Amino acid sequence: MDLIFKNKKTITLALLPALLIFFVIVFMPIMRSFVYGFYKWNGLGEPIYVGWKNFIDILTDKIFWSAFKNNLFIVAASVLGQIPIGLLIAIVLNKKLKSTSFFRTIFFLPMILSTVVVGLLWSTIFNAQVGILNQLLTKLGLEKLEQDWLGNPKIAMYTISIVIIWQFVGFYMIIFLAALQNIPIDIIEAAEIDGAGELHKLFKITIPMIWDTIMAAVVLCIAGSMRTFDLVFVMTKGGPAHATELMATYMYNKTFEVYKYGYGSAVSLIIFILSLSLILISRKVMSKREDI
Amino acid sequence: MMYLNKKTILKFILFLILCIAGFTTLYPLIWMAYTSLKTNPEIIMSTFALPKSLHFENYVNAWNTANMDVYFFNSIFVCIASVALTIIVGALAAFILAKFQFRMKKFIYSLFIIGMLIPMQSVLVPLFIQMRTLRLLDNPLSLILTYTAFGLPITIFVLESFIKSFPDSIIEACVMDGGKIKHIFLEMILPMSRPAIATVIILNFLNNWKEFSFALIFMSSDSKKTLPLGLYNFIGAHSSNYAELMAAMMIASVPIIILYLILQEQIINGMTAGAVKG
Amino acid sequence: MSKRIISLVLMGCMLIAMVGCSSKSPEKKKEQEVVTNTKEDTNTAKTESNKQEEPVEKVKFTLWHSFVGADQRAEFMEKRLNDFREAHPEYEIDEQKIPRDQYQTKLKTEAAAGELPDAFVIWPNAMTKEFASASLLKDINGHLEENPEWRDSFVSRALDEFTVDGKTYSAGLGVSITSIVYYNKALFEKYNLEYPNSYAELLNVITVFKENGVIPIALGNKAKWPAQSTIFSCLANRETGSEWLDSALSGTGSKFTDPEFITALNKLKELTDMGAFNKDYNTIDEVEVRSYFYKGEAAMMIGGSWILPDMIKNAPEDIKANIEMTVLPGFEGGKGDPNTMSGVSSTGIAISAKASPEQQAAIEELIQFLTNEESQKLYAVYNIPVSSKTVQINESEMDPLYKKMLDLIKKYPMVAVYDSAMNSEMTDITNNGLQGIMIGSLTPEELAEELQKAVE
Repeated sequence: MDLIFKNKKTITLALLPALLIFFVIVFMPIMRSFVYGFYKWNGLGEPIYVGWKNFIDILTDKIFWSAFKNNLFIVAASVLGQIPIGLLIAIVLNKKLKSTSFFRTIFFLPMILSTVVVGLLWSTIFNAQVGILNQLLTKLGLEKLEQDWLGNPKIAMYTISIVIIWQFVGFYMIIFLAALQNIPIDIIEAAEIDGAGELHKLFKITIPMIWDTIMAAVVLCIAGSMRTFDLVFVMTKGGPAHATELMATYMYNKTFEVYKYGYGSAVSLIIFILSLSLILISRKVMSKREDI
Repeated sequence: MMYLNKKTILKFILFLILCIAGFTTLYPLIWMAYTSLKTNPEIIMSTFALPKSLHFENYVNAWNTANMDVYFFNSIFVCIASVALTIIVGALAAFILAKFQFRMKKFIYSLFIIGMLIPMQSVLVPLFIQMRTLRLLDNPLSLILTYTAFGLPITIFVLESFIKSFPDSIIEACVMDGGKIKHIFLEMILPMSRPAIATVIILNFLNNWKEFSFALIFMSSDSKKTLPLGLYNFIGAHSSNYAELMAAMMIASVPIIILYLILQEQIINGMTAGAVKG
Repeated sequence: MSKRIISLVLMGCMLIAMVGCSSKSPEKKKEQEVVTNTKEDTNTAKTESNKQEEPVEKVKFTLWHSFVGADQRAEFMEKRLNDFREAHPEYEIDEQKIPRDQYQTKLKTEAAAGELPDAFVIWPNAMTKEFASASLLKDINGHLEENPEWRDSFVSRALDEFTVDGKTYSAGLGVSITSIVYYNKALFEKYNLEYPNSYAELLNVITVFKENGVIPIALGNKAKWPAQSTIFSCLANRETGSEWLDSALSGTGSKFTDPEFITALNKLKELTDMGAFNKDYNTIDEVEVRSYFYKGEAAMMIGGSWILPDMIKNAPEDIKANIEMTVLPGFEGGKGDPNTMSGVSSTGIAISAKASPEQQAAIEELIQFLTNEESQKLYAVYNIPVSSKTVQINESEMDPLYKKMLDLIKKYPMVAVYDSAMNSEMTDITNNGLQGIMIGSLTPEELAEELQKAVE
């Protein structure tokens, strides 16, 4: 038995295609990009080796740190928002009915839409001059709550997080839907016969049984949140005055707008290291909980 | 009686919440649909109003402006090829990582995480150079390989966590019966992973269908470009053609919606099948 | 069920095999390409057939430009390139059209990889300087010398802004005025107002409109450059005068911490704080904001000449009849000439340093073709300001709004736009800094110091 699951030949042969494609297309270019991080280069002329200078400049740039803070905010909102909501929706819709099939489709729609449309639509809803949300608040007599939802630097990140959660819940919903299929029905039925409540079933059966998938989802969520780009680029361009700047928009700006290619590459190496640390921490925390 | 009532009320509230949430996710599509039939001045003057008259010609113009007769089919080809490759290669790797024991396992698993941690924009230049070295520029294969490589992490994570929770006892029983690894993979792991495979097919297809940056820098002949490149033809520097943009996006969403409608049934269908096997 | 999965996998394998085959048999693929090409592009077909008739070797070059789709120059470019192909069958152009924002990404990516098309659209000032100082461009000085009549027809800006260290790399395809004040005459009349003649009057006008629920000035600053390019460049010039900016940037005499510059920043802040702009100015872009003006909800809109084609096409007729164009009023105590507006050359076509001498000659021919008298007349047809000072445009066929803009050009000389005088990094600081001042997260003094530090 063990021999089969330790067979080096099988392991190598089966992993080889994935590793080969990954190495050539992802790993090598990423390493090359990291090398640029040690050069002063405008992306056009001759690169000049400057050692750690770019990294020092980045780590002393307060705009970068506020971008990092904004990213952490999105990570928190996504991990605590998208994953629980996605899981709940998945559990509710995990039935073979016409109505659940309908809801499964429409909750996934935001994922299908182009970011341009999502950005345009939500910007119009949150608009301070003619926005639907403010109009609604006026009608309800809640003028005090009216806001410049995207233009006020104090709340713009909250607004953006709501849109991000809204757009990506469908993503986690279908991942969890798949995972839920792995729970044998008899276990749940047995629990129901014992008179277990919904909450009991959720925490004692469902979540433990799909814990591996939840952990994978958290990794995907952190990785995705740390390099969020499109939606912010479309909705606020990182503004006003860097208030919604993210590490990826910061990097893009340096690389393609202000001709600091080397600096931009150094930013991406830092994004890489920060994201990796976050993921490692999250896995540590989560696997501990599994032991309990 | 009381108990039943309480349950019905709870169910009703739940249904209500789902409906409200569902409305917010469905509305954008409806909005796109009727905006695609408006004229540009109409859209500029009142964003949310219904069209005064229906302008179906937007669809014809959009089809032509975005070169859809070529780009649309290029996109379908690239997406199907890359998704198929991703699933085959990814499922194999996921199976090994989930059920086999070897020293480098953790390291290899972490290696695939790397692919998700770097912003796409910073790999553009190095990957362009890589494709030039491989002589694959302006060749659909460059996109297929890239999409496959960047789709592998999510494919492997979802499948690995799914396969990992298959009870070892079933596989062991199969081995006892003299089953070879090849057969276990093809006849047991793959069918049992159907819900997860359907999920990653949807996610990968969607990503590849919408992917823009790589297509922009790798492809230069008009005969090989993909759909997202065509969509940007409507967004000008100082004015945008929203009416035709919406029409083009409606057309572009059709394949994805159809694919999702088919595959989401597969995700749930798996339940009974899985239970029988289990 | 498992059979279906297996068949799916098999289908996948077949697909991959197909891809493998097609990449292995290039001849077959070429054939297909030719077929599709002829179908979609008659021009290539034309050149293909020409090729068969005359055995003479053609000069072939690649051209990348951003005039596509909804771009105001898209039709112009298509028409003129067709004319060029007809006039010069000896050249073969491999043309790639890429929308503007994507164009920058693609061009810079390939430039970083050491690859550039033979001819490509380039922006004046900062971008030209970056490319020229990396020795990526060939200059057109020789061609300008040989064609003095053509050279002398340009307004100076159209060549100067593509000139680095005495070498000119392109010629602007028209010019862009960045700070036209479009105003709705009917709204001014409704509230018994006149277009202001001084800063105090401007404030008064804004207050009246504000009290009556009219947006005084429509602004869409999401992309960060509009406040700088359309408002601040001209506003600051009213305070500082025209020589000040160059002097401050070269560090010869003036400084960004000078009181006149701080006054200008403070005026922008004052206008913002008193509610001169629509509430959502930070979250909508320069295109979306036009709807306030087109609907008659905004009294003024400060913007570039690039708005004009859109305005002529999309603004309602009753509003169009009331649109007037002018410039910001002079400011009391300001050092600037009140009769100026800010402007910049439009993009031009540059030649890659790697182009062969034959290609260079062909591309120079194209640059001249796209800026000669006939082309300039065509700019006017598409409502783009011309970059020639000699061309005679037939006024009878002109849109009334375009005519109003021509009158502006005749009346007011152009001064530098901030982002054309600055390098890209300083522009970035300025754009974000102005936004910061407007939302109150930065003081004028802080921005002034930051800019001064960047110069030093």
